[in-house]
Amino acid sequence: MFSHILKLIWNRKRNNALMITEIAIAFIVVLMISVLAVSNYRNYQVPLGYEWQDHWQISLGISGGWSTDTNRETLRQMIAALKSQEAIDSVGVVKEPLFFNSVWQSSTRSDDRLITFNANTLDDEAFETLSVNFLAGRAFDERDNGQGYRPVIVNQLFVDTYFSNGDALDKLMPGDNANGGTLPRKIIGIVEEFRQYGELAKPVPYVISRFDIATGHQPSAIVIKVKEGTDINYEQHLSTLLKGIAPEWHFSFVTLKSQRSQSIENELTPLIVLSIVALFFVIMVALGLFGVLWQNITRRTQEIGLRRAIGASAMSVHQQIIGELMMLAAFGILAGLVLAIQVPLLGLFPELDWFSFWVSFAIAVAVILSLSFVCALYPSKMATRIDPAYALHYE
Amino acid sequence: MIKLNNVNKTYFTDKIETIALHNISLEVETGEFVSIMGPSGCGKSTLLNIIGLLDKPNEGSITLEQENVEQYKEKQLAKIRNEKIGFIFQGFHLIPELRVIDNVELPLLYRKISSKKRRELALEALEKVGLSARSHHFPSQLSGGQQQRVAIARAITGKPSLLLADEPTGNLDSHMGDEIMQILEDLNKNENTTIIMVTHDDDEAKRTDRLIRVFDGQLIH
Ligand SMILES: Nc1ncnc2c1ncn2[C@@H]1O[C@H](COP(=O)(O)OP(=O)(O)OP(=O)(O)O)[C@@H](O)[C@H]1O
Ligand SMILES: [Mg+2]
Repeated sequence: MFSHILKLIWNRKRNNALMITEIAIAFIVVLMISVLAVSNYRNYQVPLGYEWQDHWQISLGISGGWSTDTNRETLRQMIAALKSQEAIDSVGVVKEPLFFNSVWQSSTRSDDRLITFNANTLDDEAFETLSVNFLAGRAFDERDNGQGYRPVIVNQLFVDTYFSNGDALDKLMPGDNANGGTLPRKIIGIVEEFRQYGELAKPVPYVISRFDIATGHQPSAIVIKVKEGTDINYEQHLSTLLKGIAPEWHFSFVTLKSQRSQSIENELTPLIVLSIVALFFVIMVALGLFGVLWQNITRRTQEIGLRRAIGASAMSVHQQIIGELMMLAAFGILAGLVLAIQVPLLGLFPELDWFSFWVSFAIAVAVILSLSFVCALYPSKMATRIDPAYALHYE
Repeated sequence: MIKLNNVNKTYFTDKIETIALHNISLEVETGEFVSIMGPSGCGKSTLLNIIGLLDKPNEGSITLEQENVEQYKEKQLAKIRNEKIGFIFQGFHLIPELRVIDNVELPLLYRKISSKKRRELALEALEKVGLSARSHHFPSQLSGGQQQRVAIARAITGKPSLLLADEPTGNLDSHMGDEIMQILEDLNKNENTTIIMVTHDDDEAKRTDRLIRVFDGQLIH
């Protein structure tokens, strides 16, 4: 029966080409949505690496240029003032803010190998403030003062990516400018993760350097951990406090909780819109398939009557019609796959890994096959009601 | 072989009742070659459809090889049609998208036999109707006579014990018609196939063992 259906489809290729094309496009659309959903889901499964539940992020609008000594001194005073607050447990400084798409990419050359990573700068206390989960080593502290190296903390993914033997702690890497005589970097700690861009971003190799008020680049935010139950009304109090220290600066307060929700929403909204559009498209295709199939059954009344007359049971006619559409769907999927596989093959979408691709492929195949099956159910039922004596009576 | 007992068939369409068969009783022995004649619309095709289990009578019983098929389910009837009965329809009813060989194989598709065996049997049947050279043509590439021979090959490929032929020579010239008759006669003699054939041709009817005349849905003796 399999090869029989294959022959029928092949010899009706002109009629079937359109259906196969429609299925192929629907498949690609479903595959695309699955890829997005699967990669987002997989990203979401990776631990964030820090806490956000009782944290606020205070963005700093520093006026008059960071490099002045007065501004550095102002920041020092601010941190001290915040620390002295009853409601605040801990205060840290970050160069790149959390749950923002503020990306700092960097690279270095080690043993002629290009090591690229995303970077950030945190002060000593930020690790405790954010309860960053260390797998090995430690956070920055006084032991790193005045050493012949620049301490860095990396995430496990960085180790997995660039240290094939997994042994990275206390290893040295060239400094920012390998020839310029800057101090080499030394890995003093390895954290599980530090997903600055939030849970839906793809995890990347990440390197954190030590922020030092006296010499560091301009920080963008202070992160504080407040006591449980501190509500947003406390913001007014803090604002007054900080304004008192730095009347010229601008501050904006946001809880990491709401910033996190915002970043998830930003990632998911386009995906949801896209899914709705795709859903409508797929429904259109399904209705189209249903219509064409229905029309085919009417056109093929004689053929089906003949099959019944020469011994096909109602069941086998039913199966044949469903089988035909399933095979068309398989061809459509194959055609779609040939196109879609170019994306990971050519690396057109670097965020996409093969595992996510094949999982999404399986999902899309299941969706398209079940949809085809549902579309074929009624027309094939109709085909079984064809009365052979009647169908063969008229020329 | 076949026994019809007081068979009645009435079609109901749009308030009009057509009595297609009225009180038909008929017996055909194994190995007989029977012809049926009668004017157009008298119920010949209907009779053949009922004998071939394609249609059910409103009244009366049908016995096929001592089996009363009255209570048979759709699936059992399909199996009997497939294994015991070969049909040659009034039209050729070949599937245009299938090559000759695949058209001939069609009844075998609904049996549990290997594709190799199917091919073998289909080629054998094509051989009998003298069309093995055309096995890979499409029906549209054949003449009317050739198409009818393909339809015959399809009817006999499953080696049915009963062959029902509805005007097998109807669309053909007398030379072609003669060839078809020859094929049917060979089948009847060499393979002991029971044949019931509808015809409009007296000469063809004379070549058969027995002639049954139908008029207005009734047999006339
Ligand atoms: N499916 C049907 N629905 C309604 N009436 C039908 C149906 N099939 C046949 N009839 C009617 O039953 C009668 C017998 O038809 P049948 O086809 O058996 O005639 P026939 O003897 O084979 O004629 P012909 O020699 O023209 O083929 C006709 O009056 C026909 O109109
Ligand atoms: Mg007729």
